[in-house]
Amino acid sequence: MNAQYKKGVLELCVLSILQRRDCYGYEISEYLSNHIEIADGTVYPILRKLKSDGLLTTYLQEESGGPPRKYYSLTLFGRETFEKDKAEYLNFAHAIKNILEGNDNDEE
Amino acid sequence: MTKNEFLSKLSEELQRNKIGDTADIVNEYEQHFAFKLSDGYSEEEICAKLGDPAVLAAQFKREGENNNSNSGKKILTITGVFFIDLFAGMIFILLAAWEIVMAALFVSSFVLTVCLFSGINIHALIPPMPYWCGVVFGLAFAAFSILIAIGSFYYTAFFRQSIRSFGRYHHNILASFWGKALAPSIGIRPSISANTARKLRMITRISLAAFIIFSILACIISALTAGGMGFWHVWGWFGYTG
Repeated sequence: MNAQYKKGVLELCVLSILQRRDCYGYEISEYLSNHIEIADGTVYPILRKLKSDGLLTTYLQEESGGPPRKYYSLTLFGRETFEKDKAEYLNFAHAIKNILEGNDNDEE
Repeated sequence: MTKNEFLSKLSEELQRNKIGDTADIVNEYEQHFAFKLSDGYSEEEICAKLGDPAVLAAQFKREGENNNSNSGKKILTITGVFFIDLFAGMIFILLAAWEIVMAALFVSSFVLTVCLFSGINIHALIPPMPYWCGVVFGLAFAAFSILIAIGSFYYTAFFRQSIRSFGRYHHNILASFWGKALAPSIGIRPSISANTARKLRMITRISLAAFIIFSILACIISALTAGGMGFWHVWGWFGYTG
């Protein structure tokens, strides 16, 4: 798949995971690589980009018997962006599906 | 590739691409190794799944980060934004003033309703009239208060939304200027749920009808009670009797 395109979709997936609950980087990486085929390392650049765009914030949390973990959390901007992009993506995906499968009846 | 080879290659590539905060990024990958190692993976396997450190380092580059705008353009933009803010600020003050007018209208018509119903006439501010005529006028003013209350509700929602919308617009101008990500723009229409809007529309219709009916009724009753169309003359509202 086109790398640029995949990157945008991955950003949306990361937002979706964080919209459910705050996670540390490794959790997100594990979750995504269990579901889609990506190199484990690609999640970290995405997290960094989303953070510098102001969609995510980070905080450190002490864990028993280990170094503090860096948790990622959605900001209000992030939440708004997620809702908007999700709706756009689903509409788009629905339209593409219809085209690919040749269902061009206009009733829907 | 071992963990140390991976990490040193990564930090070398990050520096070559002039990406700040190298230590923080490398630390994130170190943690990844720590988790994977404790799950029993070998360093080789982890590196293979992570991907090429050079490719990863390149992904940290931001598009359009190094196109520094010249300072002349910067001053122009900031001046422009300043004047937009000044103009918008004046409009918002005007809008806020209307908000106060609506609130005052509501309070006064509500107090008038209460006074007419209870027969209280502070400083004889309400012109003299028989109690029952006053009650019918009171009903008209009660309906009017409700209309004004709904009007203020919509107006406040619109006012709030326009401030939010402008705030976002302001943010996005500056964000696009400094090459940061744009936040989704906010429309000027306040979001009022369909259910609430339906209820409000119904209350508005009822109050409007009540206002018209009770106003006319009050005039008719007053005219009959006073025994003449110009009941305000009969009761000497304007300082003389007709």
